[in-house]
Amino acid sequence: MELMEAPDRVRVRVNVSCKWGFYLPDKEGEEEVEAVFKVLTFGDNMVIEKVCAYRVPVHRGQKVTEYDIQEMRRLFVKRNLLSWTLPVPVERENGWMTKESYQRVSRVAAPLLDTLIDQFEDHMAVTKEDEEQMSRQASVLFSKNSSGVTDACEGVRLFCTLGNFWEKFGLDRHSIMDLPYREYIILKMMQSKESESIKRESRSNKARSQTKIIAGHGGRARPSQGIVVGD
Amino acid sequence: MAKKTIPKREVLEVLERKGERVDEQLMEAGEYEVTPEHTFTIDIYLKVKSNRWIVMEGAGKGVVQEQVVMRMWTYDEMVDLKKRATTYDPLKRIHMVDHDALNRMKLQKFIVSWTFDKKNPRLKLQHQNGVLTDESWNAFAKLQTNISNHIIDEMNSVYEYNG
Repeated sequence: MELMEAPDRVRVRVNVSCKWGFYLPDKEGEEEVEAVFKVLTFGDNMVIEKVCAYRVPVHRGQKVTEYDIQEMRRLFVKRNLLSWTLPVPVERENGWMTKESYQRVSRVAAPLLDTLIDQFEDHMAVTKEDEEQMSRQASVLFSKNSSGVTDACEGVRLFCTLGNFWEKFGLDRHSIMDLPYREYIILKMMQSKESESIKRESRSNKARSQTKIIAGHGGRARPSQGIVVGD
Repeated sequence: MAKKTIPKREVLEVLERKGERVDEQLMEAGEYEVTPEHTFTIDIYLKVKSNRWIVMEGAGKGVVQEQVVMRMWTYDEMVDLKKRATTYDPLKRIHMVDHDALNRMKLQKFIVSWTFDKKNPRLKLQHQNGVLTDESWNAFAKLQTNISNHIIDEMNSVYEYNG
């Protein structure tokens, strides 16, 4: 339901209990803290990586780019935390949490905010299981005589749908979202019909010689006789 | 001499001129925000056996109770300390957290007080700019290893494993 209401939001919840006068994550805790994060986009990630990148010297004076992972997590808070149920105000400006707001947010007990970020990160993680499934289906999809993949995983589905729609109709990841669903279905059906026909054609062409016959079968090629038009 | 009261409006104007946020200055820390008062206590039960102190599970006959008071860490403090304790191995391409260094920084920054100095003044803790002085760190280092390890374990059970 949440996904339908706001697909660009990640809602995470942590149970907490009060110990020594402050709140800590506790699975058995009766109180719940909820935080809403903006989905991390490619653009967000690019900006964050740029800020957190530094060059590390390696073998023979070469340098590689590495990222400050602790700072990246801090920037997730500044960039992606939109609101929460804690009585600590979250204010944002130009796509980032304001400096003043972050000063207060960062005073929250570390284990609590850390757990919220862990859960946010879990939402964008590609699990080992996902990766294995993708590898399996990719090897089928990209094999020589592939006829597609049944029960495609998210990766294969996205790859094929977005790739095909961009190639044929110029629809990108955002514009495809506004396409009426009926039209999407019709176009998908047409695509499968097209691929069936291409397959049929390639099968029927296989046995034939690669040389194309220009003239019709059975007769000698001769020049046109022309049409006589009366005066 | 009567204390001069500055009208609230003037205070606000001064703060605004300084570029500081008025609400930041006037709003007290709310629930969930860590303040210097947010501390937790580590109880240590000790008993002498064969001329050395051993850590017991709880109170009992001949058991001495000591306490260490520590402050909760804020998110920002956690990030800063972890950053300082994290190194990157470019050959293996992995980040490594030096847990000994991290524990040391946690202790230096967050120990508020302890009871070990009541019987032994050499173990008195002193702070400078909110951090243990080098002498006080040496006092911690002088503790028997089983005691210091117990303190570190209990401290991390709160900081890393939510108590």
